[in-house]
Amino acid sequence: MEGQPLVVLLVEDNPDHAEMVNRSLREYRVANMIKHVEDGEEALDYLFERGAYAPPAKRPDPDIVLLDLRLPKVSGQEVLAEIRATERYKNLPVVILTTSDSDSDILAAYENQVNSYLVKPVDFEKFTNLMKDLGFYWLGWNKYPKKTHNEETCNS
Amino acid sequence: MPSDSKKTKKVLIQEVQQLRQRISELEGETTASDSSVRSTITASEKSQGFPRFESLFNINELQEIQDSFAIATGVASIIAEPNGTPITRPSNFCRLCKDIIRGTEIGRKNCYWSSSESSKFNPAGPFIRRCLSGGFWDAVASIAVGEHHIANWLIGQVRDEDINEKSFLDYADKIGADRKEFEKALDEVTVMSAEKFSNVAQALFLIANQMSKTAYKNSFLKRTIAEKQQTENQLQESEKRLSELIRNSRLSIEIYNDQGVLVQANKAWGKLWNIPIIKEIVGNYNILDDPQANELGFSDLVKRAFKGESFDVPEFAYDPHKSGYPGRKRHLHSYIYPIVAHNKSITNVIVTHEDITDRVKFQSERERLIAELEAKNTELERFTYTVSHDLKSPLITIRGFVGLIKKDFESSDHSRVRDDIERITIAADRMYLLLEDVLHLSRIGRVVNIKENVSLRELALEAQDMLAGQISEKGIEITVPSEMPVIFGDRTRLYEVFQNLLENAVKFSGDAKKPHIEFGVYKQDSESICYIKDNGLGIDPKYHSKVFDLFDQLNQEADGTGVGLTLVRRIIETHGGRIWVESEGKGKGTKVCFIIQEKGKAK
Repeated sequence: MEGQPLVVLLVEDNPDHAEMVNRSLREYRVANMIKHVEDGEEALDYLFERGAYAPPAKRPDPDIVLLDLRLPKVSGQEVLAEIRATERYKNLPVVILTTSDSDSDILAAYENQVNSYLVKPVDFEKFTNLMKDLGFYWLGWNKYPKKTHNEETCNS
Repeated sequence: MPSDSKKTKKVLIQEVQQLRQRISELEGETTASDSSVRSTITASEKSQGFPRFESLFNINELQEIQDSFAIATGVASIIAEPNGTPITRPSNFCRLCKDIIRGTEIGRKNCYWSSSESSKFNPAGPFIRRCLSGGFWDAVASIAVGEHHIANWLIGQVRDEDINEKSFLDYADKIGADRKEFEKALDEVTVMSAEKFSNVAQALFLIANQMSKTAYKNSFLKRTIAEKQQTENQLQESEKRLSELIRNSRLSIEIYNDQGVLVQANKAWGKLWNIPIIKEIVGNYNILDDPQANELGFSDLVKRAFKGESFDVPEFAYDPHKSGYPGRKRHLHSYIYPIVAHNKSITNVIVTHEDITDRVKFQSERERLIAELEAKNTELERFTYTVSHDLKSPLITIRGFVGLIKKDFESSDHSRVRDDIERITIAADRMYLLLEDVLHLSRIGRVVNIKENVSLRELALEAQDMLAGQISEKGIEITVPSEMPVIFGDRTRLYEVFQNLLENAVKFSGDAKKPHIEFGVYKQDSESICYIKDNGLGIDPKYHSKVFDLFDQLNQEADGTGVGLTLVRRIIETHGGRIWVESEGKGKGTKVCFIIQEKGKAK
């Protein structure tokens, strides 16, 4: 939590879940900067600076992506595949955060070199604990490669 | 007397010559090639029992020869089996021997004893001696087939000219015959010198020898003929068995000649191709001229079989209609193979067919069912996945915000409570809606309403009426063609299709200046394709395949759960149809096309 704040790209179509993630991370003060997008297409627009995010609009490059799988338009697996297929983002840490615990989803995510796969717990206690651990681990302990591109940051 | 005897001898020799001639003639009638007879005679002779004398000679002809011989030479004569049983009737028997000597018991005994003594096989020459009953001249010549003694030709009852009457009359006394009668009968007996009788016996031996040879050949021929007959019988039996086998085989069998002409076909073949009278086709059908057999490469295989190859054709289909014959298309497992003769030449080719039509049908039916089942399974998996995922989402929201409300109270942050409760309420409502939709979806295809003729035009008009409020509010113009297909199906469900499609078109009409929705029909590849077209928001082509997925909403702000198009697709699929989207992209309007099979509409 020293130095530059980390940018989290939260891809979540359910606004309630997005709110829960937001609040939990903020409560444990692990939240750095959370950029929320509502579907796969918007996530790709954000990453590749297209549509609403096309220049001259400014947005910070994410340090980590929290990615839901079941998304309108473009699915989470497609977004992940697209990230891994791009030179610029191939090392970008991606954490899946989904309600699906199906074997095929887990396997497909790892086939695309996902960094972590987390299933949203129904139980609120567990949900907040997961968010706390996720925050401490990914936004606290974990080390990231230095950004080589798009250094600027802005407040959400 | 000497001159007389000389004359008699001349005549006798002449007679013998004639007899030999006659025997040769008889031989000629029955003998085939002499050398071939000799080369094989021993082997067959050893292996078989001997036929009876009567079966080797014509007894009547023999009797004729024997009678002539007796009359010519004046001797008595008879032919008997080696055990003494007469074969011919006696010729020229004298009264003395026949009635007077054999009339007494001793005389008869002596006669039999004498003949049995002289009946031994003697291939070297005639056996001549005086008889043991009265001392008359007796001679025996054996008739044999090879080494096998089958008969004796006996001559005798001749009185030696040098023996005086007294010794004969003494014998009459000895056997107790009437002396006067004996004397009278004795005068009737042929008288001959020893030399002359010996000549006669020699002649007899020659004749008997000839007869032996004839008997030998006759026996061989008889056996050869019998063997040939037996072989022929066996061949006939074998052929009969084979032809019965072919005739009654359940395998269809065809036999072709080297011109490709069908020369034989069995019952199973007739049954296979539904040909009641096989003969009408056999002899006329040529497999090399059958275009279909050529196209299938079958004619070629038959040609190659005539060069010695055989073929196993595990599966192919032949439709006799295409070649102008009755019967239905059959799937066959066939063999094609040549019939190779002893000299390696191939005169015929056999083609057998096993009808595997049912097997092939079952196989493809099975494969279709498996594919269908797999598709259903995949669909079910996806359905379960979607449902569990989408039902879990509102649950997480509910539990999450209940937890957050607690925290709000603990920290006395009451400002958020209303908002959180609102979220919980919406999530619970959504969960209820999802459950309703899942239930609705699961009923399609499971709960079946009675099918009837449904006019799609009526459904379009009804849907238009139902949504009249929204339509007029948005100022949308709707056109419905005067003719649309009539479908035999579930009216309630089909109405849902039109309602959902129209609802979507209205919902996404966007902000077109003149919003317009058009129902329509066009024909393509003999299928009637229905469509509903709008000039609204449109759908990006990359999402066209996703719009029918369950609970997939391209537009998050839109109402509902995203079950509508899934429902529509399912209803259309249960009616044997399909549905797809055509749109050039955002702002270009949307065209939803579907085909519902019209079969059964004539009902």
